[in-house]
Amino acid sequence: MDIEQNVHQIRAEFGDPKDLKVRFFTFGSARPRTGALLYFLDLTEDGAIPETILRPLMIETWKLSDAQILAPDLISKLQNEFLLGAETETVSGFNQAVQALLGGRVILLVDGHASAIAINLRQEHRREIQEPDVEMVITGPREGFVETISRNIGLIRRRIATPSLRVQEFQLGEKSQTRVTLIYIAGLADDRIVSEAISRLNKIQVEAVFDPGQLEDFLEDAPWSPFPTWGTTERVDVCAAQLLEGCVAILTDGSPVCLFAPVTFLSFFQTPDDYYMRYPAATLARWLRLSGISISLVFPSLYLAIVNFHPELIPFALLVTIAAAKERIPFPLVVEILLMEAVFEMLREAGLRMPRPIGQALTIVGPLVIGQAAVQAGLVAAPVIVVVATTAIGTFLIAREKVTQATRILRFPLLILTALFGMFGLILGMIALLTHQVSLRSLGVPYMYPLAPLDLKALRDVLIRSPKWDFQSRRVAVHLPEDEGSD
Amino acid sequence: MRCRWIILLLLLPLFLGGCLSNVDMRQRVILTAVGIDGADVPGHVTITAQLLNALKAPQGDADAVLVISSTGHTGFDAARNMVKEVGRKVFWGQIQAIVIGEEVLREVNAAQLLDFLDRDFEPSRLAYVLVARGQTGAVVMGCGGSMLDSIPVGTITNQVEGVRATGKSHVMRLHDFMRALDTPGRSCATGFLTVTGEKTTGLGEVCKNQKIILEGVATFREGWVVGFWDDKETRGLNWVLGEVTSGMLITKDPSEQNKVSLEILGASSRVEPMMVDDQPVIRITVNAEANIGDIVGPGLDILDDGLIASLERRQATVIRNEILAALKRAKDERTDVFGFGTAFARRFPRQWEKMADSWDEQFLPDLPVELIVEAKIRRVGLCLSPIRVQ
Repeated sequence: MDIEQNVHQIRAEFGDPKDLKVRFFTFGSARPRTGALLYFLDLTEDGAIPETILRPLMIETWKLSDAQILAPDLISKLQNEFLLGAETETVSGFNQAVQALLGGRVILLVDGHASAIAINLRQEHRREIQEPDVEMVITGPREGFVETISRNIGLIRRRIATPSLRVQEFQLGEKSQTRVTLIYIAGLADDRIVSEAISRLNKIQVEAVFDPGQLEDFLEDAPWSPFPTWGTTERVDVCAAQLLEGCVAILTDGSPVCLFAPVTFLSFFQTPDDYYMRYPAATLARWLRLSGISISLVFPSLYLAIVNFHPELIPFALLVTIAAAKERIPFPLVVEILLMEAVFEMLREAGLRMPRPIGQALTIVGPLVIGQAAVQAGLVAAPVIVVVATTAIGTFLIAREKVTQATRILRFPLLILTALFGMFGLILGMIALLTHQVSLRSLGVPYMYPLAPLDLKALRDVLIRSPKWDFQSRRVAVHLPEDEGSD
Repeated sequence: MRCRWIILLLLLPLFLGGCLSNVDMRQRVILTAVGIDGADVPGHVTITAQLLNALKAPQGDADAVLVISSTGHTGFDAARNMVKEVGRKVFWGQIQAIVIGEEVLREVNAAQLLDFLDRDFEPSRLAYVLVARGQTGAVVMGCGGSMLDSIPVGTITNQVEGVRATGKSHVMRLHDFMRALDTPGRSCATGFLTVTGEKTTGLGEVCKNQKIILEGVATFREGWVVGFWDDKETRGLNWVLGEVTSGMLITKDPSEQNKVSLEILGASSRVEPMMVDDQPVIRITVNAEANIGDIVGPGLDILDDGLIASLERRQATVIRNEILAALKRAKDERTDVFGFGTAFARRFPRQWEKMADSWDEQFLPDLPVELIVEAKIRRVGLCLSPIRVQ
């Protein structure tokens, strides 16, 4: 009850830090009472405290009579009649007060009262809305999510002005207490998908959440699979479009990344601007991306299988060229390919995390090492460089980084299978891969839809971006297992 | 459990031949062409191979290929003996040409010489089968080919492709050759090579002074070589087979003053077997189209009503003469390179059973042939009459 003691206790809880500010003041006329404001610097907009809290309390409370000041409902009276903060609540427990402080609230303690008032003056650092670096488009909105969840939700609401947009909030992370929201459009998103997503979110036990990527492991249908079953975007328009297709989206505070599901494998080959561009160009781009994944996945293995196991398949003149290039190389072909692939992966990874000024050095050295020098030194045959480079270009064609990562990983086991068993091994590997993909589900929706289960109408939209007046609905066809009986 | 069976089944093809031979390009040497001859020891076979020198091949140097001979009891044995000298695994999958010496073909049946190429999975069935007339295959392998081609075998394959512009040879691929050997009522005929010039280089190296020329066809009866046909007879064969796609026909106009050459645009043929009074009769219909290529002489009036028609009749006569020459040669040699017997076997299987055994000897020489040639001239070129120099 004693205010000094309460303040002391709270300060002690945090280890008496410098950025926990305490402001004692008195209010009331005849029998002044002592009050104390506690808040964290920077978490709170302290510039607003004098106007919204101190001024009403210290000046306006003159008119309170002694009886009112001494009354036990002083707290609720202050809250209802004096405080100007938009969001106030009464907190009664110690722990509650501590949590409120951490959430950027100002705690108002009044001498002689066991409960306190938490006034929300949380200060949000809002990054400017920018175009996300990882998802470039040629035409279309440039708007990307920011780190502030409330703004992100606002961005979505601006695009989808319907009351049926549902935003369900969770608090995840024992230490971080991060706000995590599940967003969907009631009536469009299948109830089973929504309830499945909610139940998975409820089961998550983590220390801290800084990015939805940390939740993805818990949310996936098949966490051991190399293939992603949740889509990722930083673009508001993509998120909105997915919501309209019946997906659920997950946003976490402090990250501009949005997760959405269900997704199908083939949907990763559609980019947002497919739908903003004219359809012939978009269709061509789609085909290019599909060939991109085929190339990036199998091209090195195919080259190995044909050159080492089936040279009779190569046109004679080309075989002469390949044989000539290979003649001076001391390594077996598979070593050559693995070497080059490894160097390329290293370059790529190095380029990713490199400070920008040093990055330039890398872009000069990289091509030299991979290309010219390796060939001249007789370490690698020129055709292998062409194969590895084409493979690299293939990976860059794939619109979504997540699928690129999957193909980068899978390329190596396929290569080793091919080195051991030739074309047969490659085909066996592809069969295994396809079998795995067909067995995958994303929030219960078959991953390879519309290929398996086959849906020719939907498949047409995957292969051809037909004009907008031509396709009926872009909604995710939810083929949950129980559907199959009732349809 | 079922899954395990499926995996087992998927793994079974691993044991199939040819699927698992992982040989690095560096341990291989590519065989581009091979010559097959007899050997000093009777019954033995000598194989002469042009092996690709991968480093030099793109530049087209004289040492682009290594020529190696090896001898063995059979073709396969000889081929395997090559390893003794080469050390590397010889890759037969891209073999372009197989050249058989004339001499060995008179001693050993072609089917026996080629058995090892037909039995093994590796040799390419697309290889051209050729006969070295009056020469050994080894000599042909020692020829350097034309300067235009970086490797010697390129000259042979280009000649085989290029000869279609004249219709004056007819080269069979290994697959077709073996199938024709195996088909009753059909004999093989494939192009032959002649060599001119003296060899000036040592063994193992090709000689650019020696030139190979692809001409006519060598005809076979039951796997034995029986004749070498000239240009005219060969094109007669090609007319019947429908394989004339281009070429020149030289004739004269009705006044006999102008030489007219006709460029063949294409031709089609139909071979119809018929039974007349229980005797086999064959009807050959050939349709040919041509342009006027040039007119050499005092000139003629192209617009003349009857001229084109009479030129067409003359064109037909030239074609007819070529076909008749080929038919006569085939009948003389008793070799059914046209595949008439096969046509009968297909249309009249029951009667064929009675004829099959004595087809070449008894029926072919007296086979009545009804020959219909329809020739058309489609275009006369860009000028009506030759320029008159004034």
